[in-house]
Amino acid sequence: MDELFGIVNVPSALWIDEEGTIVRPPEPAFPWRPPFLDREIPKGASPQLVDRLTEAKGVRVEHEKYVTALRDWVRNGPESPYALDPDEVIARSRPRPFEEAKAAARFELGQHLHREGRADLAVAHFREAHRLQPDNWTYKRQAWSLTNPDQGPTEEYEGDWVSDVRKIGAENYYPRLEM
Amino acid sequence: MIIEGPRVDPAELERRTGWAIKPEGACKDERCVLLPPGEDERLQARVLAERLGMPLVRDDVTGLLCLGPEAGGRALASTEAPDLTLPDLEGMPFRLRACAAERSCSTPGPRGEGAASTCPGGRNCTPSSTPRAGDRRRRPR
Repeated sequence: MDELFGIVNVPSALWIDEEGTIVRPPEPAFPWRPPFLDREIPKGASPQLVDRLTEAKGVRVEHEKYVTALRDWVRNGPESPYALDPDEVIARSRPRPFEEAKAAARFELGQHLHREGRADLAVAHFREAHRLQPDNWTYKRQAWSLTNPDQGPTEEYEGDWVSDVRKIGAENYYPRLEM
Repeated sequence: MIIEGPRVDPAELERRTGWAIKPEGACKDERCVLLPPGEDERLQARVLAERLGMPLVRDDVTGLLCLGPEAGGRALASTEAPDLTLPDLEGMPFRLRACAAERSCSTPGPRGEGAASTCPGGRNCTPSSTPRAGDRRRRPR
């Protein structure tokens, strides 16, 4: 999905009409208010869990705006103001400089090696993908979760979910929707 | 695209990247890029990478290569969706182009007008013979 469409975090979605034409590029796509925004921090939670839940509550989520637009497109099809013209779809998709194309190749190589049972070799490629495209959260989260399901600190990677979110500020974890 | 040797299978290249090898070179949409003579049946990964602006990376232990996506443009080079098969809500595989293919078949309806047809996977599609009011057809660039 990263390579094909430029998706860099989840949940993301793009809209494809019945003709097979992309009418909106990838963007944050929460279909409802995610439970993590309202989850109470359990008593006795580990400091790591407290940190993770606290940061998650600061993430920008615009589910109402997104679902309103989606429903409008379903009702009105190409007449919906949210269905974009081809030039705008392409212009709104992510630029792909050479470093990011190379990051995609490194990530694919890492994935392949991991699936082939060479997790030891995969790490170097994942690390390089992270270095080349530091704002790609799917590359980071995938690699982190293969080593630590909570995406916490590990010996293999310099970053982890909480530390990296803090660096950019939780409110910037997802870009603002431009509907 | 993972490559296990120095050369690339053209059929796999086309399946993964959309670049087809033709007498005039490597072609995708309306673009064609010249290839050196002899680059036809099995393509040198290094040459392809240079000509098509794709990074080529290598794992030094296994010798595996990986050809990355084209660099320099946008993540979406066209608005035509690729031919993907993805799991649907029930986990069944659904080919994205199935509906578009059905629309072009234009199944006649009971009274001669277009009627809804069913795609593989059970989805209903409006055939292309019945354009929707105000349908602004979008085409890839």
